Amino acid sequence: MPKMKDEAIQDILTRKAVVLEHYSKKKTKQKKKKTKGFTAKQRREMRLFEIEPEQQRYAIFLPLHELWKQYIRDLCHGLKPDVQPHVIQGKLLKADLHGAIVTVTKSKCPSYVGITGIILQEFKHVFKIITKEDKLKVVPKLNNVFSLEIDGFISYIYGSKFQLRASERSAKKFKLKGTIDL
Amino acid sequence: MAAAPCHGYRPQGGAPLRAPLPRMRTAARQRAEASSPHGFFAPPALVSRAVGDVRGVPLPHWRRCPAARGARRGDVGAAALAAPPAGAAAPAGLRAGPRAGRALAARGAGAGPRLQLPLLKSTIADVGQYYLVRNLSVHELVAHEFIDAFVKKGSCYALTYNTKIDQDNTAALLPNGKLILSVDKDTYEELGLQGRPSQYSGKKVMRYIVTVDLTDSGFHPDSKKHNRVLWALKEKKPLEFDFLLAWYNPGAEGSTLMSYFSKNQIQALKPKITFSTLRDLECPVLQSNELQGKPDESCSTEELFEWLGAVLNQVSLNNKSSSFLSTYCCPQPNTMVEKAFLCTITGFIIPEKIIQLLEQLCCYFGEPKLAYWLTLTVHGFADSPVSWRESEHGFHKGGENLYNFVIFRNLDYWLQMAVGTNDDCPP
Repeated sequence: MPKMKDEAIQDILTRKAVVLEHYSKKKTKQKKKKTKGFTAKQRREMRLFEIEPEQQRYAIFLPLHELWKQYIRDLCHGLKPDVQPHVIQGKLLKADLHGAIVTVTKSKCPSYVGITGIILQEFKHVFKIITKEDKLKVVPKLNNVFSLEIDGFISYIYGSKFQLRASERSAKKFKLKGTIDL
Repeated sequence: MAAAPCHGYRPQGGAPLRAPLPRMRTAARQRAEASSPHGFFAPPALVSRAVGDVRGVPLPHWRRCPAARGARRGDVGAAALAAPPAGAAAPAGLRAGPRAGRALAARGAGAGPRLQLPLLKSTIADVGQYYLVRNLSVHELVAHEFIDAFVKKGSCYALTYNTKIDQDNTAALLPNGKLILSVDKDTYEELGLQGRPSQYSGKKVMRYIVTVDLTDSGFHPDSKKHNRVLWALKEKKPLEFDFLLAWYNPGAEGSTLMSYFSKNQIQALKPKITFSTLRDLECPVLQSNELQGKPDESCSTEELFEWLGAVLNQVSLNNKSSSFLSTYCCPQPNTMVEKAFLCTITGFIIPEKIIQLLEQLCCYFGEPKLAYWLTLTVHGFADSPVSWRESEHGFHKGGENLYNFVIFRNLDYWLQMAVGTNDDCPP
């Protein structure tokens, strides 16, 4: 444009719209205030989920077990003897197992067989169980079969298929895949 | 090797054996080159050993010889076959078959055969007795009363009856106080006792062996070990079997098995003894110091072993062209014997009784007889979890584990031991 003649410039200016440089105001995006989370390392250091040895007594956790029984009864609407087992199974798959009394019935490693106790914590791959002798046992889920008893219903949990965090398990659909042979 | 099926191996006439006697390979004198027992296609191994003179030495010497040392549990059946001399008379001998014990006695023709048969019958009159208990739980064998009464005093032998080693759970009690449980995968995972996988399982382990030492010092009542074993066998996974039991006690005091297990259905049984006479039998000529056999003078140990198997299975030794079963001939050089005597003992026979039998046979050679040699064959159970000492025994296709004594007139003896594919070398 600068080199053109005046008439030509006038001509262009009258007909077309000329876009001048335009600086738009940058909207300062409000930074989302991220909730200050901890990394796994920090969480482990904080020991939020550890139970002190003084508090590792079986008798303390028996009320927890009673609460759990009540919760399951509410979940299954009564647990009458004529209720079909697969209904209960479906509900148990999504239920929370903290406070259940569980026994290891089958295991690839024979020293795990026979461990009985109340589930205190459920992690992705292990259960933390407290036994009657006030011992906190960490039992892996892989290659273990746990048996759960509630009001005469005995269910077997195949730990190898159960390797999910409790929170995620409530949302997961379980499909029959592979064998349940240990 | 003849393809004729063997006679029944199971006590009290059960199903016939699954396969004929194995082909053997001679190992070096000290079993140096015995084939690998773990290979899938390895042929069964045979160990031949010629041991020197056992003349005039009483019982302690026999204890030193390999068969006695092996102390095979529940050895059954001793078979002795006497070889005829080059002359006319055929000697007498005893041959006992496998567990079920078949005794084959070859009787000489020369010196009054009728006199010899009762003599032999009297010598093998007492082979002890054994017990069959139905539906006995294994936890009763772990109870401390049983251990104190039977396991710690004398030697106690137990084996499950009618269980297959490659399919079902099997239990055995050895005289050194070890209880061996050979269980399948599911039972092992539920039982909760620590064991090791079987040596003869492939990539996927289907068989586990659990060993419990009952005479262990840490196994006293109220110890953790004892409680765990008792809990596993009583509450977690109760195992029940029919057991064959035998107890050898030199002191002979205290309660007997019969009175201890009076609550269960216990039967006392005696091994079955049968005698038969074989006529016009071709027997190989043997020389006691020639293990490999000289070309025209004597036969080698393998040839003798094959011949023995053929005779026991009643395979005809003439190579008839019309026969479809076997083309086996008696090895050269051989002699024709008018009469041979075969005695078969079937049952659950303990090694102490076999030693006594051997001594009686040696006494047979005390008077000058026309026999040159006699044979004693002992077969172990095809379904037992152990073969020699504590080495694991598998069935594969035959489950054979046997040893054979050849006793000569001058009291030299040969000892041949044979095992099947899924077995460790004999000691």
